[in-house]
Amino acid sequence: MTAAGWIFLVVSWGAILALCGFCFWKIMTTTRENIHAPLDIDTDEHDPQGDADTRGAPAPPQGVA
Amino acid sequence: MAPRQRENWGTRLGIIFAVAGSAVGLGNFLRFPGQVCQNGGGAFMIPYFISFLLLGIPLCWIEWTMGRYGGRYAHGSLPGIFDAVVQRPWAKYAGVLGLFVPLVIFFYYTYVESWCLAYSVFSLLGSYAQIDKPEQMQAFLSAFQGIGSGGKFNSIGVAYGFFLLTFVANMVVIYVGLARGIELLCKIAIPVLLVAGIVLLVRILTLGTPDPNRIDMNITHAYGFMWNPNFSVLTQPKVWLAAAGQVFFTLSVGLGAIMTYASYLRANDDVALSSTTAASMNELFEVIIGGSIVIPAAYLFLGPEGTLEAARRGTFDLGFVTMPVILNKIPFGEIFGFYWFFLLFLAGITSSISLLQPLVSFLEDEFGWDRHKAAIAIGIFCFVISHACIFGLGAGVLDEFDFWGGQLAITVCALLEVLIFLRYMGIERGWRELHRGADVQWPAWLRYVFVVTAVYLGAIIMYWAAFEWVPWIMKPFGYLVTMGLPPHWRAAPVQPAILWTRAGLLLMLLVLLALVRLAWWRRARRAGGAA
Repeated sequence: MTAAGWIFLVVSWGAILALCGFCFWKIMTTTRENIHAPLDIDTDEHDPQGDADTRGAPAPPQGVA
Repeated sequence: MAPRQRENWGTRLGIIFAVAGSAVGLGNFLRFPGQVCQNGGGAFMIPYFISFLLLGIPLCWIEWTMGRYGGRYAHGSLPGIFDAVVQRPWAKYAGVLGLFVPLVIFFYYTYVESWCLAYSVFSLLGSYAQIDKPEQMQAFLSAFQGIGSGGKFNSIGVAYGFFLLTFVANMVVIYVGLARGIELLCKIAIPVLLVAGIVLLVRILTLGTPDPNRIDMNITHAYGFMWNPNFSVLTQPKVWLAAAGQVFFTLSVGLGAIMTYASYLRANDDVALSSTTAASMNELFEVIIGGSIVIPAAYLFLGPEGTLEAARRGTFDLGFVTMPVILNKIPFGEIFGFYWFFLLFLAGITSSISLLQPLVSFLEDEFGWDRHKAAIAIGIFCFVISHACIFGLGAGVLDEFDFWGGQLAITVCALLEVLIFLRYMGIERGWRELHRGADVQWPAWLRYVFVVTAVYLGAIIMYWAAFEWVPWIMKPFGYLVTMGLPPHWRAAPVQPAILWTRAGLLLMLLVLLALVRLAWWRRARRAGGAA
Protein backbone atom coordinates (compact mmCIF):
# COMPACT_ATOMS: atom_id res chain seq x y z
CA MET A 1 0.00 0.00 0.00
CA THR A 2 1.46 3.32 -1.04
CA ALA A 3 1.57 6.48 1.05
CA ALA A 4 -1.15 7.95 -1.17
CA GLY A 5 -3.31 4.87 -0.51
CA TRP A 6 -2.90 5.35 3.23
CA ILE A 7 -3.78 9.03 2.90
CA PHE A 8 -6.97 8.25 0.99
CA LEU A 9 -7.96 5.54 3.45
CA VAL A 10 -7.31 7.66 6.53
CA VAL A 11 -8.96 10.79 5.11
CA SER A 12 -12.03 8.87 3.90
CA TRP A 13 -12.52 6.96 7.12
CA GLY A 14 -11.71 10.07 9.16
CA ALA A 15 -14.22 12.25 7.30
CA ILE A 16 -17.01 9.74 7.76
CA LEU A 17 -16.21 9.04 11.40
CA ALA A 18 -16.01 12.78 12.08
CA LEU A 19 -19.38 13.44 10.42
CA CYS A 20 -20.98 10.49 12.23
CA GLY A 21 -19.40 11.48 15.53
CA PHE A 22 -20.50 15.11 15.16
CA CYS A 23 -24.10 14.10 14.36
CA PHE A 24 -24.41 11.67 17.26
CA TRP A 25 -22.69 14.11 19.62
CA LYS A 26 -25.26 16.76 18.66
CA ILE A 27 -28.11 14.30 19.09
CA MET A 28 -26.93 13.09 22.48
CA THR A 29 -26.26 16.57 23.83
CA THR A 30 -29.51 18.11 22.62
CA THR A 31 -31.76 18.82 25.54
CA ARG A 32 -35.04 18.16 23.77
CA GLU A 33 -37.09 15.32 25.11
CA ASN A 34 -36.02 12.19 23.33
CA ILE A 35 -39.35 10.41 23.45
CA HIS A 36 -41.77 12.17 21.16
CA ALA A 37 -44.92 10.38 22.00
CA PRO A 38 -46.14 7.29 23.76
CA LEU A 39 -46.97 4.61 21.26
CA ASP A 40 -50.31 4.57 19.52
CA ILE A 41 -51.76 7.85 20.69
CA ASP A 42 -53.34 10.43 18.45
CA THR A 43 -50.54 12.59 17.14
CA ASP A 44 -52.41 14.03 14.21
CA GLU A 45 -50.90 17.39 13.34
CA HIS A 46 -52.31 20.13 11.22
CA ASP A 47 -50.60 23.25 10.12
CA PRO A 48 -51.08 25.90 12.80
CA GLN A 49 -52.83 29.06 11.66
CA GLY A 50 -50.03 31.29 12.85
CA ASP A 51 -47.30 29.41 11.07
CA ALA A 52 -45.00 31.94 9.44
CA ASP A 53 -43.97 29.57 6.69
CA THR A 54 -47.44 28.85 5.41
CA ARG A 55 -49.23 32.03 6.43
CA GLY A 56 -50.95 33.56 3.48
CA ALA A 57 -50.51 30.46 1.37
CA PRO A 58 -53.65 28.76 0.14
CA ALA A 59 -54.70 25.73 2.10
CA PRO A 60 -53.59 22.46 0.58
CA PRO A 61 -56.23 21.00 -1.68
CA GLN A 62 -58.63 18.64 -0.04
CA GLY A 63 -60.90 17.95 -2.92
CA VAL A 64 -59.05 18.77 -6.10
CA ALA A 65 -59.74 16.05 -8.59
CA MET B 1 -65.45 13.27 9.79
CA ALA B 2 -62.88 13.19 12.59
CA PRO B 3 -59.28 13.33 11.42
CA ARG B 4 -57.74 9.89 11.27
CA GLN B 5 -55.04 9.10 13.77
CA ARG B 6 -51.60 8.74 12.24
CA GLU B 7 -48.86 6.71 13.84
CA ASN B 8 -45.72 8.27 15.31
CA TRP B 9 -42.15 7.19 15.85
CA GLY B 10 -41.44 6.13 19.44
CA THR B 11 -37.96 7.68 19.64
CA ARG B 12 -35.72 9.91 17.62
CA LEU B 13 -33.10 7.19 17.21
CA GLY B 14 -35.91 5.00 15.93
CA ILE B 15 -36.48 7.02 12.76
CA ILE B 16 -32.74 7.61 12.24
CA PHE B 17 -32.08 3.86 12.44
CA ALA B 18 -35.10 3.15 10.24
CA VAL B 19 -33.91 5.54 7.51
CA ALA B 20 -30.33 4.28 7.84
CA GLY B 21 -31.68 0.72 7.65
CA SER B 22 -33.57 1.62 4.51
CA ALA B 23 -30.38 2.98 2.95
CA VAL B 24 -27.99 0.27 4.12
CA GLY B 25 -28.53 -2.64 1.78
CA LEU B 26 -26.69 -5.17 -0.34
CA GLY B 27 -25.18 -2.35 -2.41
CA ASN B 28 -23.20 -1.06 0.58
CA PHE B 29 -21.35 -4.34 0.99
CA LEU B 30 -21.20 -5.58 -2.60
CA ARG B 31 -21.66 -2.79 -5.13
CA PHE B 32 -19.52 -0.09 -3.50
CA PRO B 33 -16.26 -2.07 -3.15
CA GLY B 34 -16.64 -3.32 -6.73
CA GLN B 35 -17.04 0.23 -7.99
CA VAL B 36 -13.98 1.45 -6.06
CA CYS B 37 -11.59 -1.16 -7.36
CA GLN B 38 -12.83 -0.76 -10.95
CA ASN B 39 -12.70 3.04 -10.93
CA GLY B 40 -9.34 4.17 -9.70
CA GLY B 41 -9.15 2.89 -6.10
CA GLY B 42 -8.74 5.71 -3.60
CA ALA B 43 -9.07 8.30 -6.38
CA PHE B 44 -12.70 7.18 -6.79
CA MET B 45 -13.38 8.71 -3.37
CA ILE B 46 -12.88 12.22 -4.81
CA PRO B 47 -15.93 12.10 -7.12
CA TYR B 48 -17.70 9.94 -4.55
CA PHE B 49 -17.46 12.53 -1.75
CA ILE B 50 -18.25 15.39 -4.14
CA SER B 51 -21.38 13.50 -5.21
CA PHE B 52 -22.25 12.79 -1.59
CA LEU B 53 -22.09 16.50 -0.74
CA LEU B 54 -23.77 17.85 -3.89
CA LEU B 55 -26.26 15.07 -4.57
CA GLY B 56 -26.68 12.73 -1.62
CA ILE B 57 -27.03 15.05 1.36
CA PRO B 58 -29.26 17.63 -0.43
CA LEU B 59 -31.58 14.88 -1.71
CA CYS B 60 -31.87 13.52 1.83
CA TRP B 61 -32.64 17.01 3.16
CA ILE B 62 -35.30 17.49 0.48
CA GLU B 63 -36.96 14.14 1.18
CA TRP B 64 -37.02 14.58 4.95
CA THR B 65 -38.28 18.16 4.64
CA MET B 66 -41.03 17.42 2.12
CA GLY B 67 -42.00 14.25 3.97
CA ARG B 68 -42.48 16.01 7.29
CA TYR B 69 -44.34 18.81 5.49
CA GLY B 70 -46.73 16.30 3.88
CA GLY B 71 -47.26 14.61 7.23
CA ARG B 72 -48.64 17.87 8.61
CA TYR B 73 -51.50 17.47 6.14
CA ALA B 74 -51.91 13.78 6.97
CA HIS B 75 -50.19 12.63 3.75
CA GLY B 76 -47.47 10.02 3.96
CA SER B 77 -47.02 8.95 0.35
CA LEU B 78 -45.75 10.86 -2.64
CA PRO B 79 -49.11 11.57 -4.35
CA GLY B 80 -50.38 13.33 -1.22
CA ILE B 81 -47.07 15.00 -0.39
CA PHE B 82 -46.69 16.40 -3.92
CA ASP B 83 -50.32 17.52 -3.80
CA ALA B 84 -49.75 19.35 -0.50
CA VAL B 85 -46.57 21.05 -1.74
CA VAL B 86 -47.58 21.86 -5.32
CA GLN B 87 -51.34 22.42 -4.89
CA ARG B 88 -52.04 21.62 -8.52
CA PRO B 89 -54.18 18.73 -9.81
CA TRP B 90 -51.31 17.13 -11.79
CA ALA B 91 -49.01 16.81 -8.79
CA LYS B 92 -50.75 13.82 -7.25
CA TYR B 93 -50.41 11.91 -10.53
CA ALA B 94 -46.70 12.72 -10.70
CA GLY B 95 -46.43 11.35 -7.18
CA VAL B 96 -47.59 7.95 -8.35
CA LEU B 97 -43.92 7.22 -9.09
CA GLY B 98 -43.43 7.15 -5.32
CA LEU B 99 -45.75 4.13 -5.19
CA PHE B 100 -44.60 2.46 -8.40
CA VAL B 101 -40.87 2.48 -7.63
CA PRO B 102 -40.90 0.86 -4.16
CA LEU B 103 -43.49 -1.68 -5.26
CA VAL B 104 -41.52 -2.81 -8.31
CA ILE B 105 -38.28 -3.02 -6.34
CA PHE B 106 -39.98 -4.97 -3.55
CA PHE B 107 -41.14 -7.64 -6.02
CA TYR B 108 -37.57 -8.79 -6.65
CA TYR B 109 -35.67 -7.44 -3.67
CA THR B 110 -37.37 -9.84 -1.24
CA TYR B 111 -36.35 -12.77 -3.41
CA VAL B 112 -32.71 -11.65 -3.49
CA GLU B 113 -32.90 -11.05 0.26
CA SER B 114 -34.12 -14.63 0.73
CA TRP B 115 -30.96 -15.91 -0.99
CA CYS B 116 -28.94 -14.26 1.80
CA LEU B 117 -31.01 -16.02 4.45
CA ALA B 118 -30.67 -19.32 2.57
CA TYR B 119 -26.91 -18.98 2.19
CA SER B 120 -26.49 -18.13 5.89
CA VAL B 121 -28.24 -21.43 6.71
CA PHE B 122 -26.27 -23.32 4.00
CA SER B 123 -23.08 -21.97 5.51
CA LEU B 124 -23.91 -23.23 8.99
CA LEU B 125 -24.95 -26.62 7.58
CA GLY B 126 -21.82 -26.85 5.44
CA SER B 127 -23.90 -27.27 2.27
CA TYR B 128 -21.22 -25.72 0.05
CA ALA B 129 -18.22 -26.42 2.28
CA GLN B 130 -16.59 -28.69 -0.33
CA ILE B 131 -16.72 -26.10 -3.11
CA ASP B 132 -13.44 -24.32 -3.73
CA LYS B 133 -13.82 -23.02 -7.28
CA PRO B 134 -15.96 -20.07 -8.45
CA GLU B 135 -17.31 -22.10 -11.41
CA GLN B 136 -18.63 -24.79 -9.06
CA MET B 137 -20.13 -22.12 -6.82
CA GLN B 138 -21.83 -20.56 -9.84
CA ALA B 139 -23.36 -23.95 -10.66
CA PHE B 140 -24.50 -24.30 -7.03
CA LEU B 141 -26.17 -20.85 -7.20
CA SER B 142 -27.84 -21.56 -10.55
CA ALA B 143 -29.19 -24.89 -9.32
CA PHE B 144 -30.48 -23.22 -6.16
CA GLN B 145 -32.24 -20.57 -8.25
CA GLY B 146 -33.77 -23.24 -10.44
CA ILE B 147 -32.11 -21.98 -13.61
CA GLY B 148 -29.36 -24.55 -13.82
CA SER B 149 -29.09 -28.28 -13.44
CA GLY B 150 -26.86 -30.37 -11.24
CA GLY B 151 -25.50 -29.63 -7.81
CA LYS B 152 -27.44 -30.20 -4.63
CA PHE B 153 -30.76 -28.92 -5.87
CA ASN B 154 -33.16 -30.62 -8.24
CA SER B 155 -35.74 -27.86 -8.27
CA ILE B 156 -36.46 -24.33 -7.13
CA GLY B 157 -38.23 -25.70 -4.03
CA VAL B 158 -35.60 -24.76 -1.45
CA ALA B 159 -35.26 -21.24 -2.85
CA TYR B 160 -39.03 -20.89 -2.83
CA GLY B 161 -39.19 -22.03 0.80
CA PHE B 162 -36.68 -19.38 1.86
CA PHE B 163 -38.58 -16.80 -0.17
CA LEU B 164 -41.76 -17.66 1.75
CA LEU B 165 -39.94 -17.29 5.07
CA THR B 166 -38.47 -13.93 4.07
CA PHE B 167 -41.73 -12.68 2.66
CA VAL B 168 -43.67 -13.60 5.82
CA ALA B 169 -41.00 -11.94 7.99
CA ASN B 170 -41.39 -8.72 5.99
CA MET B 171 -45.17 -8.81 6.19
CA VAL B 172 -45.20 -9.46 9.93
CA VAL B 173 -43.06 -6.38 10.55
CA ILE B 174 -45.29 -4.24 8.36
CA TYR B 175 -48.46 -5.68 9.87
CA VAL B 176 -47.35 -4.99 13.46
CA GLY B 177 -46.87 -1.28 12.86
CA LEU B 178 -44.49 1.63 12.68
CA ALA B 179 -43.09 1.84 16.21
CA ARG B 180 -43.59 -1.78 17.27
CA GLY B 181 -42.60 -3.27 13.91
CA ILE B 182 -40.30 -1.18 11.73
CA GLU B 183 -38.73 0.86 14.52
CA LEU B 184 -38.17 -2.10 16.83
CA LEU B 185 -36.63 -4.20 14.06
CA CYS B 186 -34.27 -1.41 12.97
CA LYS B 187 -33.22 -0.62 16.54
CA ILE B 188 -32.15 -4.25 16.90
CA ALA B 189 -30.87 -4.87 13.36
CA ILE B 190 -28.65 -1.81 12.93
CA PRO B 191 -26.47 -2.42 16.03
CA VAL B 192 -26.30 -6.15 15.19
CA LEU B 193 -25.31 -5.22 11.64
CA LEU B 194 -22.59 -2.94 12.97
CA VAL B 195 -21.18 -5.59 15.32
CA ALA B 196 -21.32 -8.35 12.67
CA GLY B 197 -19.62 -6.00 10.20
CA ILE B 198 -16.86 -5.14 12.64
CA VAL B 199 -16.30 -8.83 13.48
CA LEU B 200 -15.88 -9.62 9.77
CA LEU B 201 -13.66 -6.60 9.24
CA VAL B 202 -11.36 -7.67 12.10
CA ARG B 203 -11.28 -11.24 10.72
CA ILE B 204 -10.21 -9.99 7.28
CA LEU B 205 -7.62 -7.65 8.81
CA THR B 206 -6.06 -10.50 10.78
CA LEU B 207 -5.78 -12.90 7.83
CA GLY B 208 -2.21 -11.73 7.20
CA THR B 209 -0.76 -13.82 4.35
CA PRO B 210 -3.06 -16.84 3.90
CA ASP B 211 -0.86 -18.53 1.28
CA PRO B 212 2.80 -18.65 2.42
CA ASN B 213 3.83 -19.35 -1.18
CA ARG B 214 2.31 -16.08 -2.34
CA ILE B 215 3.73 -13.49 0.04
CA ASP B 216 2.60 -10.69 -2.28
CA MET B 217 -1.02 -11.62 -1.55
CA ASN B 218 -1.08 -10.16 1.96
CA ILE B 219 -3.49 -7.89 3.76
CA THR B 220 -1.42 -4.72 3.21
CA HIS B 221 -1.36 -5.29 -0.54
CA ALA B 222 -5.06 -6.17 -0.42
CA TYR B 223 -5.87 -2.79 1.10
CA GLY B 224 -3.47 -1.18 -1.34
CA PHE B 225 -5.40 -2.77 -4.22
CA MET B 226 -8.54 -1.15 -2.84
CA TRP B 227 -7.14 2.24 -1.83
CA ASN B 228 -4.03 3.10 -3.89
CA PRO B 229 -5.25 5.99 -6.05
CA ASN B 230 -5.04 6.02 -9.82
CA PHE B 231 -5.55 9.72 -10.58
CA SER B 232 -5.59 9.25 -14.35
CA VAL B 233 -9.17 7.89 -14.18
CA LEU B 234 -10.47 11.23 -12.92
CA THR B 235 -10.48 12.56 -16.47
CA GLN B 236 -12.97 9.85 -17.50
CA PRO B 237 -16.67 10.86 -17.28
CA LYS B 238 -17.68 7.24 -16.59
CA VAL B 239 -15.85 7.34 -13.25
CA TRP B 240 -17.74 10.46 -12.15
CA LEU B 241 -21.01 8.88 -13.29
CA ALA B 242 -20.20 5.68 -11.42
CA ALA B 243 -19.56 7.70 -8.25
CA ALA B 244 -22.75 9.73 -8.65
CA GLY B 245 -24.72 6.55 -9.34
CA GLN B 246 -23.27 4.81 -6.29
CA VAL B 247 -24.14 7.74 -4.00
CA PHE B 248 -27.60 8.05 -5.50
CA PHE B 249 -28.52 4.38 -5.22
CA THR B 250 -26.99 3.82 -1.79
CA LEU B 251 -29.02 6.49 0.01
CA SER B 252 -32.48 5.13 -0.90
CA VAL B 253 -33.56 8.47 -2.35
CA GLY B 254 -36.17 8.67 -5.09
CA LEU B 255 -38.12 5.78 -3.58
CA GLY B 256 -40.53 7.76 -1.48
CA ALA B 257 -39.53 5.66 1.55
CA ILE B 258 -37.67 8.43 3.38
CA MET B 259 -40.53 10.85 2.74
CA THR B 260 -43.01 8.37 4.16
CA TYR B 261 -40.88 7.77 7.24
CA ALA B 262 -40.44 11.53 7.75
CA SER B 263 -44.18 12.10 7.41
CA TYR B 264 -44.67 10.41 10.78
CA LEU B 265 -42.63 13.13 12.49
CA ARG B 266 -44.25 16.02 14.28
CA ALA B 267 -44.25 19.49 12.74
CA ASN B 268 -41.38 20.72 14.91
CA ASP B 269 -39.30 17.57 15.10
CA ASP B 270 -35.77 18.00 13.83
CA VAL B 271 -35.00 16.88 10.29
CA ALA B 272 -31.82 18.86 9.53
CA LEU B 273 -29.66 16.84 11.92
CA SER B 274 -31.53 13.54 11.74
CA SER B 275 -31.31 13.37 7.94
CA THR B 276 -27.57 14.05 7.99
CA THR B 277 -27.06 11.49 10.76
CA ALA B 278 -28.88 8.77 8.82
CA ALA B 279 -26.86 9.58 5.67
CA SER B 280 -23.58 9.53 7.60
CA MET B 281 -24.48 6.16 9.15
CA ASN B 282 -25.04 4.79 5.67
CA GLU B 283 -21.57 6.02 4.68
CA LEU B 284 -20.06 4.36 7.74
CA PHE B 285 -21.53 1.02 6.67
CA GLU B 286 -20.55 1.56 3.06
CA VAL B 287 -17.04 3.01 3.08
CA ILE B 288 -15.61 1.68 6.35
CA ILE B 289 -17.28 -1.73 6.67
CA GLY B 290 -18.40 -2.48 3.12
CA GLY B 291 -15.11 -1.28 1.67
CA SER B 292 -13.06 -3.47 4.01
CA ILE B 293 -14.54 -6.91 3.51
CA VAL B 294 -15.21 -8.22 0.01
CA ILE B 295 -12.39 -6.81 -2.10
CA PRO B 296 -9.54 -7.24 0.42
CA ALA B 297 -10.76 -10.81 1.11
CA ALA B 298 -10.98 -11.57 -2.60
CA TYR B 299 -7.49 -10.19 -3.20
CA LEU B 300 -5.97 -12.43 -0.53
CA PHE B 301 -7.22 -15.59 -2.25
CA LEU B 302 -7.70 -14.65 -5.91
CA GLY B 303 -4.97 -12.07 -6.48
CA PRO B 304 -5.39 -8.77 -8.35
CA GLU B 305 -6.60 -10.20 -11.69
CA GLY B 306 -9.06 -12.61 -10.11
CA THR B 307 -10.47 -9.88 -7.87
CA LEU B 308 -10.91 -7.44 -10.73
CA GLU B 309 -12.59 -10.13 -12.82
CA ALA B 310 -14.96 -11.01 -9.96
CA ALA B 311 -15.84 -7.31 -9.50
CA ARG B 312 -16.52 -6.97 -13.24
CA ARG B 313 -18.91 -9.91 -13.17
CA GLY B 314 -21.15 -7.86 -10.93
CA THR B 315 -22.62 -7.44 -7.50
CA PHE B 316 -24.37 -10.79 -7.19
CA ASP B 317 -21.37 -12.71 -8.39
CA LEU B 318 -19.18 -11.02 -5.81
CA GLY B 319 -21.60 -11.81 -2.99
CA PHE B 320 -22.92 -15.25 -3.87
CA VAL B 321 -20.08 -16.80 -5.84
CA THR B 322 -16.76 -15.21 -4.87
CA MET B 323 -17.35 -14.67 -1.15
CA PRO B 324 -18.57 -18.20 -0.30
CA VAL B 325 -15.53 -19.70 -2.03
CA ILE B 326 -13.22 -17.36 -0.12
CA LEU B 327 -14.90 -17.94 3.22
CA ASN B 328 -14.55 -21.69 2.68
CA LYS B 329 -10.79 -21.21 2.71
CA ILE B 330 -10.47 -19.53 6.10
CA PRO B 331 -10.63 -21.24 9.51
CA PHE B 332 -14.18 -21.38 10.91
CA GLY B 333 -15.41 -20.48 7.45
CA GLU B 334 -18.88 -21.84 8.28
CA ILE B 335 -19.30 -19.37 11.12
CA PHE B 336 -17.97 -16.41 9.15
CA GLY B 337 -20.04 -17.45 6.15
CA PHE B 338 -23.10 -17.39 8.37
CA TYR B 339 -22.06 -13.96 9.70
CA TRP B 340 -21.55 -12.62 6.19
CA PHE B 341 -24.86 -13.77 4.73
CA PHE B 342 -26.86 -12.97 7.83
CA LEU B 343 -25.35 -9.48 7.72
CA LEU B 344 -26.57 -9.17 4.13
CA PHE B 345 -29.98 -10.51 5.14
CA LEU B 346 -30.33 -7.93 7.93
CA ALA B 347 -29.24 -5.18 5.56
CA GLY B 348 -31.83 -6.45 3.09
CA ILE B 349 -34.80 -6.74 5.40
CA THR B 350 -34.37 -3.26 6.89
CA SER B 351 -34.46 -2.00 3.29
CA SER B 352 -37.35 -4.11 2.03
CA ILE B 353 -39.73 -3.14 4.83
CA SER B 354 -39.15 0.49 3.94
CA LEU B 355 -40.32 -0.30 0.40
CA LEU B 356 -43.74 -1.38 1.63
CA GLN B 357 -44.42 1.53 3.96
CA PRO B 358 -45.27 4.10 1.21
CA LEU B 359 -48.02 1.77 -0.06
CA VAL B 360 -49.34 1.15 3.45
CA SER B 361 -49.32 4.85 4.11
CA PHE B 362 -51.14 5.55 0.82
CA LEU B 363 -53.98 3.17 1.66
CA GLU B 364 -54.17 4.44 5.24
CA ASP B 365 -54.03 8.15 4.49
CA GLU B 366 -55.91 8.39 1.21
CA PHE B 367 -58.44 5.57 1.58
CA GLY B 368 -58.82 5.54 5.37
CA TRP B 369 -57.91 1.84 5.67
CA ASP B 370 -56.39 0.59 8.89
CA ARG B 371 -52.82 -0.71 8.83
CA HIS B 372 -53.75 -4.38 9.15
CA LYS B 373 -56.14 -4.27 6.20
CA ALA B 374 -53.62 -2.32 4.12
CA ALA B 375 -50.77 -4.70 5.01
CA ILE B 376 -52.81 -7.78 4.07
CA ALA B 377 -53.97 -6.30 0.76
CA ILE B 378 -50.45 -5.23 -0.21
CA GLY B 379 -49.06 -8.55 0.98
CA ILE B 380 -51.38 -10.55 -1.26
CA PHE B 381 -50.67 -8.34 -4.26
CA CYS B 382 -46.89 -8.43 -3.77
CA PHE B 383 -46.91 -12.18 -3.15
CA VAL B 384 -48.65 -12.84 -6.46
CA ILE B 385 -46.48 -10.52 -8.57
CA SER B 386 -43.22 -11.64 -6.93
CA HIS B 387 -43.71 -15.02 -8.62
CA ALA B 388 -42.92 -13.39 -11.95
CA CYS B 389 -39.42 -12.60 -10.65
CA ILE B 390 -38.95 -16.01 -9.01
CA PHE B 391 -39.98 -18.13 -11.96
CA GLY B 392 -38.94 -15.66 -14.66
CA LEU B 393 -35.39 -15.17 -13.36
CA GLY B 394 -33.82 -17.10 -16.21
CA ALA B 395 -35.92 -15.22 -18.76
CA GLY B 396 -34.66 -11.85 -17.52
CA VAL B 397 -37.85 -10.71 -15.77
CA LEU B 398 -35.99 -9.70 -12.61
CA ASP B 399 -33.55 -7.60 -14.64
CA GLU B 400 -36.48 -5.93 -16.38
CA PHE B 401 -38.10 -5.06 -13.04
CA ASP B 402 -34.78 -3.73 -11.82
CA PHE B 403 -34.34 -1.56 -14.90
CA TRP B 404 -37.80 0.05 -14.87
CA GLY B 405 -38.17 0.41 -11.12
CA GLY B 406 -34.68 0.42 -9.69
CA GLN B 407 -32.93 2.49 -12.36
CA LEU B 408 -35.24 4.52 -14.57
CA ALA B 409 -38.32 5.45 -12.52
CA ILE B 410 -36.36 5.97 -9.30
CA THR B 411 -34.05 8.52 -10.92
CA VAL B 412 -36.90 10.36 -12.65
CA CYS B 413 -38.78 10.41 -9.33
CA ALA B 414 -35.77 11.93 -7.56
CA LEU B 415 -35.45 14.62 -10.23
CA LEU B 416 -39.15 15.40 -9.86
CA GLU B 417 -38.70 15.77 -6.10
CA VAL B 418 -35.86 18.24 -6.53
CA LEU B 419 -37.68 20.27 -9.18
CA ILE B 420 -40.90 20.40 -7.15
CA PHE B 421 -38.95 21.39 -4.06
CA LEU B 422 -37.19 24.21 -5.94
CA ARG B 423 -40.22 25.42 -7.88
CA TYR B 424 -43.06 25.10 -5.39
CA MET B 425 -41.40 25.22 -1.99
CA GLY B 426 -38.58 27.50 -3.09
CA ILE B 427 -35.05 27.79 -1.80
CA GLU B 428 -35.78 30.25 1.00
CA ARG B 429 -38.95 28.63 2.29
CA GLY B 430 -37.51 25.16 1.79
CA TRP B 431 -34.43 26.11 3.80
CA ARG B 432 -36.63 27.50 6.60
CA GLU B 433 -38.76 24.36 6.49
CA LEU B 434 -35.61 22.21 6.76
CA HIS B 435 -34.56 24.16 9.85
CA ARG B 436 -37.96 24.24 11.55
CA GLY B 437 -37.29 22.79 15.02
CA ALA B 438 -33.77 21.85 13.90
CA ASP B 439 -31.08 20.85 16.37
CA VAL B 440 -28.37 22.10 14.06
CA GLN B 441 -28.12 25.19 11.90
CA TRP B 442 -26.29 24.54 8.67
CA PRO B 443 -24.56 27.58 7.06
CA ALA B 444 -27.12 29.64 5.12
CA TRP B 445 -25.06 29.72 1.92
CA LEU B 446 -25.56 25.95 1.66
CA ARG B 447 -29.18 26.53 0.61
CA TYR B 448 -28.03 27.16 -2.97
CA VAL B 449 -26.71 23.62 -3.16
CA PHE B 450 -30.21 22.49 -4.16
CA VAL B 451 -29.80 24.23 -7.53
CA VAL B 452 -26.50 22.42 -8.08
CA THR B 453 -28.23 19.16 -7.13
CA ALA B 454 -30.94 19.69 -9.75
CA VAL B 455 -28.39 20.45 -12.48
CA TYR B 456 -26.13 17.56 -11.43
CA LEU B 457 -29.01 15.07 -11.38
CA GLY B 458 -30.40 16.37 -14.66
CA ALA B 459 -27.01 15.96 -16.36
CA ILE B 460 -26.62 12.42 -15.03
CA ILE B 461 -30.11 11.48 -16.19
CA MET B 462 -29.44 12.79 -19.70
CA TYR B 463 -26.29 10.70 -19.92
CA TRP B 464 -27.95 7.56 -18.58
CA ALA B 465 -30.95 8.08 -20.85
CA ALA B 466 -28.77 8.34 -23.95
CA PHE B 467 -26.25 5.59 -23.24
CA GLU B 468 -28.06 3.11 -21.00
CA TRP B 469 -31.83 3.53 -20.93
CA VAL B 470 -32.55 3.98 -24.64
CA PRO B 471 -30.46 0.95 -25.70
CA TRP B 472 -32.17 -1.17 -23.04
CA ILE B 473 -35.65 -0.03 -24.02
CA MET B 474 -34.96 -0.47 -27.72
CA LYS B 475 -33.65 -4.03 -27.45
CA PRO B 476 -36.93 -5.72 -28.53
CA PHE B 477 -37.55 -3.15 -31.23
CA GLY B 478 -34.08 -3.71 -32.62
CA TYR B 479 -35.09 -7.30 -33.16
CA LEU B 480 -38.29 -6.30 -34.94
CA VAL B 481 -36.41 -3.89 -37.20
CA THR B 482 -33.76 -6.44 -38.17
CA MET B 483 -36.11 -9.38 -38.73
CA GLY B 484 -36.01 -9.04 -42.52
CA LEU B 485 -32.21 -8.91 -42.66
CA PRO B 486 -29.86 -11.85 -43.21
CA PRO B 487 -29.47 -13.98 -40.05
CA HIS B 488 -25.98 -12.73 -39.18
CA TRP B 489 -27.23 -9.12 -39.12
CA ARG B 490 -30.25 -9.72 -36.98
CA ALA B 491 -30.46 -8.58 -33.37
CA ALA B 492 -30.93 -11.31 -30.77
CA PRO B 493 -34.57 -12.41 -30.55
CA VAL B 494 -36.38 -10.95 -27.59
CA GLN B 495 -38.08 -13.29 -25.16
CA PRO B 496 -41.84 -12.92 -24.88
CA ALA B 497 -41.42 -12.75 -21.08
CA ILE B 498 -39.74 -9.35 -21.47
CA LEU B 499 -42.62 -7.90 -23.47
CA TRP B 500 -45.17 -9.33 -21.03
CA THR B 501 -43.21 -7.86 -18.13
CA ARG B 502 -43.25 -4.42 -19.72
CA ALA B 503 -46.96 -4.70 -20.41
CA GLY B 504 -47.55 -5.78 -16.82
CA LEU B 505 -45.55 -2.89 -15.40
CA LEU B 506 -47.41 -0.42 -17.61
CA LEU B 507 -50.71 -1.88 -16.44
CA MET B 508 -49.59 -1.57 -12.81
CA LEU B 509 -48.69 2.07 -13.35
CA LEU B 510 -52.13 2.71 -14.84
CA VAL B 511 -53.84 0.96 -11.93
CA LEU B 512 -51.89 3.09 -9.46
CA LEU B 513 -52.88 6.24 -11.37
CA ALA B 514 -56.51 5.10 -11.24
CA LEU B 515 -56.21 4.51 -7.48
CA VAL B 516 -54.88 8.03 -6.99
CA ARG B 517 -57.75 9.39 -9.09
CA LEU B 518 -60.25 7.37 -7.06
CA ALA B 519 -58.77 8.50 -3.73
CA TRP B 520 -59.05 12.19 -4.63
CA TRP B 521 -62.50 11.72 -6.11
CA ARG B 522 -63.67 10.15 -2.83
CA ARG B 523 -62.01 12.96 -0.91
CA ALA B 524 -63.77 15.58 -3.05
CA ARG B 525 -67.10 13.80 -2.59
CA ARG B 526 -66.62 13.67 1.18
CA ALA B 527 -65.67 17.35 1.28
CA GLY B 528 -68.76 18.17 -0.82
CA GLY B 529 -70.96 16.11 1.47
CA ALA B 530 -69.55 17.75 4.57
CA ALA B 531 -70.14 21.19 3.12
